[in-house]
Amino acid sequence: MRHTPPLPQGEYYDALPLGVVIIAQDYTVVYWNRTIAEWTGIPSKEILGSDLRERFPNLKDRRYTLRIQQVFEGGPAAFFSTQFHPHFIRAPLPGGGVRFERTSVHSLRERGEAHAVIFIDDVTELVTQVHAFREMKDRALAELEERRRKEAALALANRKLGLLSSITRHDIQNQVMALKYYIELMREEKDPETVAELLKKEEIIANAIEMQILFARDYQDMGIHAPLWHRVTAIIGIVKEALPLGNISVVADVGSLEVQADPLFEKVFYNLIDNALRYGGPGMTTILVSGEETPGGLVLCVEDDGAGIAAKDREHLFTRGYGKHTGFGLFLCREILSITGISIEERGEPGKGARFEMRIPEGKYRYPEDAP
Amino acid sequence: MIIDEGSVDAIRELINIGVGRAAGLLNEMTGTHIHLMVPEVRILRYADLVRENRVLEHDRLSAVTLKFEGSFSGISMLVFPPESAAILITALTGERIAAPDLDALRIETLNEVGNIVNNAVMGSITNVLNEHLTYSMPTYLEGSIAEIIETGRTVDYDWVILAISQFSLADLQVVGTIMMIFEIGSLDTLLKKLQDAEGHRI
Repeated sequence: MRHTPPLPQGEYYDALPLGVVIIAQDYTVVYWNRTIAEWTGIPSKEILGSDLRERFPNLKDRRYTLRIQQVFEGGPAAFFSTQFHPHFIRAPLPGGGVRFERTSVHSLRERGEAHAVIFIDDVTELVTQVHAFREMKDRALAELEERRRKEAALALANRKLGLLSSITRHDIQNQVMALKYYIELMREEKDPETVAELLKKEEIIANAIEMQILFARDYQDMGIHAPLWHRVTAIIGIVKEALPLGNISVVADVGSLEVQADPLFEKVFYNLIDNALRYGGPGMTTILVSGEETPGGLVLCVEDDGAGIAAKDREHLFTRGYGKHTGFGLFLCREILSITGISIEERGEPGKGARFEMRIPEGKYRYPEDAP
Repeated sequence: MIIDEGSVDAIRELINIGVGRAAGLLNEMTGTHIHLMVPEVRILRYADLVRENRVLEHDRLSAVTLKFEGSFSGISMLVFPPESAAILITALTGERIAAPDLDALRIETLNEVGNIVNNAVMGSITNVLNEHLTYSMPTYLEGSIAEIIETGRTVDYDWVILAISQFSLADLQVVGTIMMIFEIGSLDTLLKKLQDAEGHRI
């Protein structure tokens, strides 16, 4: 059956820079304008009278038919966006590739019969420009983020500089004074037992100075490099190798958890597990690392079943210089974590074990699906 | 004009049928599992719309509008705060971006989502009434609610059907508003026709 264009003004559509197609209710093409003929390479005489869905099978999909049916029934125009329907009528570009299209389908009654007029706009240039704009914007945002990170690193460096200078000036100087005092005592001392006692004290001071220098080295490195994604199970594995665990079992129940933190993140676990081993007491058997997602982010716990931490010690735990050993470990943990907005607090029960909770904000942790 | 609870219920049911169809279509189109709900429908005077805080609390809104004319006339629109619209569109298209915004392509996509919702709601109403209306092209507008409604307005409006609509997909919830603003006398006609249709069903 031959269909004739239902509109006398059909020829005017030939002048439009839009693809214009008119179909009957059974999808028979009754009009095919010059523009769409040029884009598709299908001349009007070849497609008139044939089913549009046979030439363009994507139109058989319910995503199209349901909405086009509503148009045939006299409903409002159906609009098909480029993002969801980039190629309504597949039309190749002369240089290769396919045109991006924006399409609308309108109801038309002609000679008492329902038709649909399809208007197709070639938006290839727009799509190219928007994608270029998005890339440019992403780059600008990344540069802005990098600048923010550098500014934060600079502020941190200033803070660290002040602290490092105070460590060298006060802590080491105090230790050196004490060392000199013991050396003076040794010069005058004849009793071998007292000399041995003084030597022990000098050794303790030398160790303390060494610890302060090591802390200064770690602290100097902190925040210099961009945060990385750390696989928590991998870190625990390294820490377990490095520490004398004896009979203590260290369990990581965190799945594929990864945390975005300073490259020194490993030191946090080293210090927390080292602390547990030092002060957990003889009754301690297990150190457990676990994670729990909460509405505000992830709570990552390092807990043990040892002696726990006395309530009076809790508020000073993370203060520099506080503690039985060097007094640097937990201070360093807090500083390393704070670089990426992670907080830490101790919430264990004295006598039942220590429990360190790290609160990791949304976006700073992830569970990669392809992880083993 | 007296608007009884039964009429509001009938309109709520029709809008819910419409958004249910729209959600089905969006699911098929995007491969996502979007759920659309209209927990609240109210009818208010056009003059009172400006006092409707939940619609007007944003200085800038994104709206997809559809004008209709016939035995009852007016404008149907789906309205979002632009940030919510951007979040919804990026979720529907599966884009992974840190700060969603509305560029030309995403505006087009929002236009299609609004077109689907508006058409489904209008289709639901006209089907039950067996009514034929004439429609304008779907149009995307941005601005305050007053600016959006005033754009191209040539007639006086009278009543507004306000339907708070909730789009849920995955763990995301975006709230938009479906508004049908009626020209003088048009809501009376719609309610009368609904009552007649209800009477025929009984």
